Amino acid sequence: MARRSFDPQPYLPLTPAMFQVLVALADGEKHGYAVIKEVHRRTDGKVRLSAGTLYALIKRFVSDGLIVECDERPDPSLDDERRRYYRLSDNGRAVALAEAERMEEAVGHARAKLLTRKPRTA
Amino acid sequence: MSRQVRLFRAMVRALFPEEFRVDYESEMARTFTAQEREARSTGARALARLWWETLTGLVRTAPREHMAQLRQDVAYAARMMRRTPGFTAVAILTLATGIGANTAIFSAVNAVLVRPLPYSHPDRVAMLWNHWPSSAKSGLSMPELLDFRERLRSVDVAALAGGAVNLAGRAEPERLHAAYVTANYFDVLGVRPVLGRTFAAREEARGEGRVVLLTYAVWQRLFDGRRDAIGQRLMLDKEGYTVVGVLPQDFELPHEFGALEPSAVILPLTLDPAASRAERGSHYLRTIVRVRDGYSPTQAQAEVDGITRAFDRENPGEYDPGYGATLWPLRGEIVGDVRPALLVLLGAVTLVLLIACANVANLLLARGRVRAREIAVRKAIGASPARLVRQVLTEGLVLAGISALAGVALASSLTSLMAQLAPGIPRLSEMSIDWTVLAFTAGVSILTAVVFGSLPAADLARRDISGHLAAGRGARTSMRQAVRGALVAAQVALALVLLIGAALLAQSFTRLLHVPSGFRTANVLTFRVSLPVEGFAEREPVVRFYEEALARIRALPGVTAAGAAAGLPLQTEIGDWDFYLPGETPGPHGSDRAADWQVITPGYMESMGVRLLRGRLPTESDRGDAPAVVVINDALARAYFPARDPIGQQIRMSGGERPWMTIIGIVGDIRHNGLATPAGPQVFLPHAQFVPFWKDTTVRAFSIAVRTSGDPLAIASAARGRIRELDRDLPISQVMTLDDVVDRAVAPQRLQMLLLTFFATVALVLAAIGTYGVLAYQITERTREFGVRMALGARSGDILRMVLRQGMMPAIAGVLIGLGSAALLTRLLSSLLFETPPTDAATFAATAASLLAAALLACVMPARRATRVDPSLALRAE
Repeated sequence: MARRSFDPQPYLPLTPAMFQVLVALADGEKHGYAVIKEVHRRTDGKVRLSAGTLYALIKRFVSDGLIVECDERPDPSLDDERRRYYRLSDNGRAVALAEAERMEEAVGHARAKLLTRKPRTA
Repeated sequence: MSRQVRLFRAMVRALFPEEFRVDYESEMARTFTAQEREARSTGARALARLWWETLTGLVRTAPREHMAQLRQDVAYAARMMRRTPGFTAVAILTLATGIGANTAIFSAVNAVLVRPLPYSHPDRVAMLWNHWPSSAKSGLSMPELLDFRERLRSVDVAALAGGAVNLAGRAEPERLHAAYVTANYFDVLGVRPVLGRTFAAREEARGEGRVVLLTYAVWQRLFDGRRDAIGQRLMLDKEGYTVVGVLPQDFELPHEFGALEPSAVILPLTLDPAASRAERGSHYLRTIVRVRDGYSPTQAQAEVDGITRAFDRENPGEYDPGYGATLWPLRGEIVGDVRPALLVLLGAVTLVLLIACANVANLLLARGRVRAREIAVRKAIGASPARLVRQVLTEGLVLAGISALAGVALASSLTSLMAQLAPGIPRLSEMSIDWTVLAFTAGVSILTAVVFGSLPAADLARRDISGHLAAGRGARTSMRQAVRGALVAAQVALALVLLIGAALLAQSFTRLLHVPSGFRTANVLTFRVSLPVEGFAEREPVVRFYEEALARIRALPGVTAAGAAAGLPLQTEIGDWDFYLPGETPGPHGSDRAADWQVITPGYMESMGVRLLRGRLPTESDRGDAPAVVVINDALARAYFPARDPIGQQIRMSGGERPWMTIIGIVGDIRHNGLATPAGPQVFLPHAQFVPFWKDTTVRAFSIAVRTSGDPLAIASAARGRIRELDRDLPISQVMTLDDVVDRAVAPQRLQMLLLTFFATVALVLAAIGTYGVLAYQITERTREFGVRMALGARSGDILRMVLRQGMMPAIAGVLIGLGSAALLTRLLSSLLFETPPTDAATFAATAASLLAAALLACVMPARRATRVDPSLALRAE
């Protein structure tokens, strides 16, 4: 659980790349390459992360306490080299949720103004 | 590892800061390896896309990482500075002084020497001066100007003559400085008016030039800047002139940069093609030329040389052997005289800055010792030496940055002061802290930070970590001591060079002020009166006017003497004319005898306090119909009458039908053309008998000198009233005391001397602080040693002598180095010194002794502290 005293607002808004990295780590530990692959898949290639961009984000998130570095271990699905794994912290989860709520609110405002198509009903 | 991955790693190493790479380089490489493998299996297009995304990602994120680290370092530096406010204040003050002084002097250099002149393509414009064996630069005569204009193909030629006009028709009449120019003058300079037009060629003809151009300031003052000023009439010298144009706001005539009273109006110069041969010797025109497209200055000079050779052939007897004419580039003409002084000052402030850097470097080195544990701990938890060096350099940049801001504020005050102290220096009034100056300041600040930060950074990189953590106090290394001692020696050497330079300039200035000028300046009021042509075309009305005016002024209470001359010493220059003695026949090139000539009224010598050596001075009885007389100076008497009494002898000025003049008196030499210029032979011609050397050149403008028993300025208003009683439209101008005249003449030398003295004093204080600081720090380090020595029987006197010896060694070394350096560098001051050799031994010795005394004083306090160490406490502290 995020500490009650933690306020995610100062971290918002997140860039698309930042949001997608946090979301990618939401369902478990991953190493960097796995995060890149997940973001690419989830966004249908709209958000493409390079190694430089990803690790700059990781450094910042680690420094801010939004993600936590786990121990290194090999990834058998790749080349079995030891890789560093990361997971989302409670604070990181709170930030990602806050960003999602912010975007949902923004979409709601747009719909209210008839700026977007209504979702198709079944 | 594939070649592509190796390339990727090389780019990461090149772009990202070390701290980031230590944590993430390997992981990034592994991730890229996986990406590259997948892309390669997909195809070349996917690989290209991967590289494109990777490159753009690296380029986008690397600078942000550097900025983040910089922010961290700056925040850390600010915290450190707040923790040591005393050190921070001293460092900032020291650096601000050095940076501020450099900024101020550079802004002067920028305004005077660097900024482009306000003319179009000024590199194509030059002054054309005659030169004679006796005179390096002399104006052109009217016939010479007309000949040059007609014959020169490679340049356009224009000319200017100075003058003054009386503006009437307003509440108060006003005397305005005026310039008379040829119609093409502004085309040659490359200046367009902001309103109206300049002169047409037809307006150069006699009687056709009743038009006037206004300078911007006069246009604002007389017409409130209204556009309908064009076409309005001004009454100048009782004639109506139509305003045809207004000049730009930043416009200045080439010879008037820095002039205290620049020309207010510009009038057409009347060109007289029928100018008589006699006027070929009247050299009063300032001539400028613009080299035409397709020609070079060298070609233009060759053409001028050909024409001057033709002058000699066509005018036998008119030109001496060695006569010629030379083109002088315009910029050098305007600022050439002040260039050496400005460059000397720039060198001086550079030395001050180096001393400041050495001081701060020493302070940082000493502080490095205090921070040793902190640095050691940071190293232990992973900070690399490169990272720590970067931190130290950033601290230096922050310090330099804050000092630069303070320095700019200081520079702003210094530049205002400089402009006030020397108003006559060309273009100095254009000094400002503009973008060029700020860029210079930024560059100096960064260089300063690197210079004073590199030593502590290098020291840091060499520190032994284990020694700091285990021993509990940093080990004193002799290398560090040697570096600090060398810094002190360097500061002392640089300070000595500056002090010697300042002392030499001060001596030179003092000698200049005490040179016998030939006249007494106390209690003398001076002002200038200029009569118009109308009513005063001939000599007699002018003579009567000044006789009456001077008689009324002499009747004022408090006036002890009054007289007039065509120009005052140190305010105007007088030229020479040749003369001969009875029985001599002038040769083909005139006489070999020449004297500077001056036109005076009765009472002039008395009012100026000039010493009469023998004979008498002119009186009212020496009128036009009386036998012609002349007064000579002592130099002429010694040169041309060495074996006989000149009184009663006769001389005759060359050219035309001139009377023989009887010498009636000999006066002391007057330094008319400058205090630094010894007086040559001079003749003083009574106004009532003066026959002009050229036609239509009746002397109508005179400077009046009034000697009073009290404050001379107290009678200025009354004197003005006496002149207006004779002509209410006649203004007086240049009202000042004779002391002020001398003051203005030496203002540039005074400014140089004051500035260099100021910088030298700053350097001395910094060097003394540096010496004190280093020794005080060393005393602290050696407390235990002194305790042991005293416990073993050493007396206070022994400790004192030991410490003083240690403290004075770098100072003595610095003095020796400084003496040697000064002996080489002060030669650069030669052109600025008056009757003072640049390697004056007495000055060197006295200055070195003063500096050693200051260093000794700086050592005494820490030395006395060393003698008060309690041995038991010092030993227990360990």
